[in-house]
Amino acid sequence: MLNELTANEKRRYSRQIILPEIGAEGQARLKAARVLVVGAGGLGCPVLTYLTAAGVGNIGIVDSDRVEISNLHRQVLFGEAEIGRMKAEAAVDKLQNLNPIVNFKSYSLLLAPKNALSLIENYDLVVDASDNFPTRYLINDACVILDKPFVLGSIHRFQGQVAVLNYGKAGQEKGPSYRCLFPKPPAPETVPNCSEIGVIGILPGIIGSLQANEVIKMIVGYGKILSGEILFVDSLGLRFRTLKISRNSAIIEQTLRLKENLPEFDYDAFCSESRTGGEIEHISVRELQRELENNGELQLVDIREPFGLEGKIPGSESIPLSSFGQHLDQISREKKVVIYCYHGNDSQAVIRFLQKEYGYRNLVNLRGGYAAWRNAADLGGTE
Amino acid sequence: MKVKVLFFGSLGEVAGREELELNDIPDTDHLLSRLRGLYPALTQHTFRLAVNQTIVEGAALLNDNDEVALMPPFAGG
Repeated sequence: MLNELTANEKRRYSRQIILPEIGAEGQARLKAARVLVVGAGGLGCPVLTYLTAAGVGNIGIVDSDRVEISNLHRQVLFGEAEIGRMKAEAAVDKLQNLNPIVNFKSYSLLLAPKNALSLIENYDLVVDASDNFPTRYLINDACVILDKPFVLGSIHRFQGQVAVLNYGKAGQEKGPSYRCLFPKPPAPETVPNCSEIGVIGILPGIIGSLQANEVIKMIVGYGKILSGEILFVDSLGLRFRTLKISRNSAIIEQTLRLKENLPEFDYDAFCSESRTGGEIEHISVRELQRELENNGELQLVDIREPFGLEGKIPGSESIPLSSFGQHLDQISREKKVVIYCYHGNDSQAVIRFLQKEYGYRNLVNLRGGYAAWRNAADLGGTE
Repeated sequence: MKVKVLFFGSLGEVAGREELELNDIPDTDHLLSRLRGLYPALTQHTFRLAVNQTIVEGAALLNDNDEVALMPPFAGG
């Protein structure tokens, strides 16, 4: 049974209740809905704003990051006062003010194979507003296993993608999953992220709004759902194209077979395995911490650009990617050299380049980059 | 017989352009080998091919004025 709307709710949502496509019944459906938004960043901010304003009754927010000043040009839920706060908690405070009758739950943690199924289980649908491939494949696999639809959004410079995946009305055949579209993740060195190649703030605003639009249509049950298709948006040329995609039942079955082993599946390793060229040695945050504690002989190099950084790994020296060529003499050839960036993609590209062009044999990539380090630190260390 | 090729996302940066017209391309296999000859870095990239806005599995025949889009996955958010 759908919840009755209160007088207050009828007033608040009156302008959308008048629309025959929504009505009081559609509004009651929104009120009863449970949506999990993974990522409270560039995409998550507009998604959360519009879902909250529209009256989606139960919203979960997953994000393990803190607000940084370089986020503010696109993560429009946050202002200077939120710098340094956990994004999931700061977002709830803002959204609660926008619409106090929504039930929010913040999860200041990394969506991980160990917690994904138990988290997603509590929601009707998921919004993928993440910014990396390990999380995107994890959301896909968990949603296929739990038989829930999810709305993908992703951006690259001035372009974006939106798709409703694993969606089907009761009794109908389901649409494709993310793995049906991209069975294998790309080589990490071919996919720089926003912190490394830049992004204009309005772009995730557009893409996130399109994601929220699909969520509201799915819950209320009106309009055409972007299922069986992926929408490509180019904000420079203002081109919109939808490409049809098919569900691949063999791939779906493979995903379903992951069920028992999902908590142990290593998505970071999976997303590193399509790398091209020579082998790269990786070190985990836990192993690095152990080596640092034991005063191991190693050089730690931070290749992130220095502006807007909120922290670094103690003992590391900064050699930004943009000026790397002039500082090659600073990279040891004897000691083990651990190189890190924000997420562990650019560092792999740098290592590959130095191995190939300069014959380095002592370079190690920090898996997951600074983000993984900080997450471990937030959890009070790894041991 | 000509085919229009669209490069989406990072592939536009690999090719240094967003569109290209090629002649005498009978199918997508020939198209891919021509593109890899023109832009060797393409071989490192993951992408799907959409012929006239439908993503194709395996090789597909091409006709005059077909549009082929190369779509990579995007990471950012």
